[in-house]
Amino acid sequence: MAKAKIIGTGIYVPGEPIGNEELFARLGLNYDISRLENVIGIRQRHMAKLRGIEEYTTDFATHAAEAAIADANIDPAELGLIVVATNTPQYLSPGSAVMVQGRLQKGQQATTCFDLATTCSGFCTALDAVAKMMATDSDLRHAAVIASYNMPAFVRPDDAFGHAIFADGAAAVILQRTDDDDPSGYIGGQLMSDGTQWDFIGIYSGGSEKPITDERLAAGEWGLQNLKALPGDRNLKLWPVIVERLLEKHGIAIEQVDHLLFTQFNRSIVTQIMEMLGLPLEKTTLTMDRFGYTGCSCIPIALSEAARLGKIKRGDTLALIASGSGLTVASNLLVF
Amino acid sequence: MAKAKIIGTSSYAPGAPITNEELYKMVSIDFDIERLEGKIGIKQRHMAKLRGIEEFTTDFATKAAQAAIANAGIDPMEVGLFIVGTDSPQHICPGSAVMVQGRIQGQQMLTGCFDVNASCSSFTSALAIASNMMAGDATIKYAVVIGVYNMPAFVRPDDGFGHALFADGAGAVVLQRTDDTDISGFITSQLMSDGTQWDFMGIYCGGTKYPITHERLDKGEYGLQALKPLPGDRNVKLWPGLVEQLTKKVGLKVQDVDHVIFTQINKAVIEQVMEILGLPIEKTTMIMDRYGYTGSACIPMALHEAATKGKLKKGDKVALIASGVGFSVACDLIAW
Repeated sequence: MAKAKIIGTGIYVPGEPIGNEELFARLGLNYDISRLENVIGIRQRHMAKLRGIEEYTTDFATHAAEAAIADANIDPAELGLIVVATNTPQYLSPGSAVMVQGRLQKGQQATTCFDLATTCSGFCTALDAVAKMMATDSDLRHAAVIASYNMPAFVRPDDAFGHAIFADGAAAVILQRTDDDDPSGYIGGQLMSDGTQWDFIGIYSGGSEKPITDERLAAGEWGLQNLKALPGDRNLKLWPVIVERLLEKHGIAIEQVDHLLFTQFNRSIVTQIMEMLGLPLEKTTLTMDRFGYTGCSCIPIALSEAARLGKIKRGDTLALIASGSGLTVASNLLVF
Repeated sequence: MAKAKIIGTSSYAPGAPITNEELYKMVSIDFDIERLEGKIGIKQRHMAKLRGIEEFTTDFATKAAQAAIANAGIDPMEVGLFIVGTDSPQHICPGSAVMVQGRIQGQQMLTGCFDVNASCSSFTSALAIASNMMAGDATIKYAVVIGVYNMPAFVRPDDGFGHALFADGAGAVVLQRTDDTDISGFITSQLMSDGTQWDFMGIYCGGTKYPITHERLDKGEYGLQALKPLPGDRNVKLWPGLVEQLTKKVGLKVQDVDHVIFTQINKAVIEQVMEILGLPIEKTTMIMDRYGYTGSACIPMALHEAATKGKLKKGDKVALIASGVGFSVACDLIAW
């Protein structure tokens, strides 16, 4: 039996970072910067639109894929599968993955391309799907799993919370099909859903149900909308359970996990989770201070940063835990 | 080694059908009915909006999923994976799959949910993804793969071509994990992409790059847009080779295929392709006469019809050939 292993990572964020003071001064909006920096943990972020950079979902995805391809040192023509996980599409149709294929491979090729949407757990879900596809299909030698987040494009001008939290960014991993005796490789995943909770936060207009009309624009019913307040302790309740389920499913003890990465939504939640799991804070990587909240991209951004900073090394066992609106949760266990 | 097999199918289209004559009166737009009925093969279709039915992408998907689950005779709580293939989403975020999970399972479950967008090849891509995931994951007993199309919601009022062609619909299959010794099951897939051809047709506005504004609405820059005419002979050139490649991949010949289902965009093209392949017309199923063009839903809808009309018997080799804008192609070979 074969499996997939990560042989390259890459990230892309547009333009120069924007600090909290600069952000709110430019927008003319007020926000509790002390809480943003000390509890949530965000000090700066990258936002193409505010910097006047004409780049969007597919551009970020392409740049991140190029960085990961360079890191893996492969020829882009060798990719047999390109997946873009995003819930902030550049166009509703066609998706980003096929456009990335066109830019990287320059023409028709027997490459599988699709976009995968499951909110902020999109990358971990895509990684699970692709790793299993590669294990089963011997034709798939190399795959690119890309996450791209362009949520600032959907944040309305008067939304201080939206501007404080959501940031642009993309990251990619290159997977290679390898033998089961390779020490590195994907072990398995665990997904979880609760679609009764679809009506907390999302982009509800602009699809088939609520087309954008002059009336909806005037009423401010467009872009990212908060329909109900998210329960603040949701991830505190969810994440320990999903970690336990993931480890139990694959017969691995928590002590055997070298590094854990969580959705980078709130620093204080991640630190509390590590405490609940009885693990030192060094065993996780936090990136929200520099990148803000980059949704489906934040896990591969953290992974890429952890690798670049030497916090993880080859042979380390990693757990990736992501949750997003919907509600969807996805987790992965792998040996780097 | 395990594999996935189809144990249930379904088809759903909203409301009473709308004939070409009725449509012509309802939207008062000029289109060539003779060509539509003769060459393209469309005599009627279902459209929720024109019938005043308040149902959208996720509603169609839910009904198709429920019908397929009933057809398979399984407990919906045993479904471990819901995938919705669509490029006409109800909301931009969250996706349809998690909402379908919420409506069918009604609570938090260890169920994977995600949407796949590969334009009109979304269903066949999703079927390959689900089948490969199930082969590698013993915890997924059943999966539901849904193809759904709500493109009429994106057709602009003045678009005669759009109204004539695009229709609402959904189709679903239930997959069961089974042994390799089972005569029935997923055999292989063949996908192909050419992302340099992204700019023929799509929904280009309403995503991150071109937000819908009052100005864009005034100029008619929204909804489904045809930027360049699609080459009329593309599928005639493409499909015969794809059937050949797909069968050759597993040591079979075109003549070994018992049934082939193609994207239902044009009756004359399918007839021509069957002739090129040297296969009798009885070995394909066409539904565009009654359902119009239902994009990512047309393959599972046609599959359901073939199954319920007794055109497929156990062990039959069935090829599903889908192509869509992007340009994306996804083909599956299954043993019924």
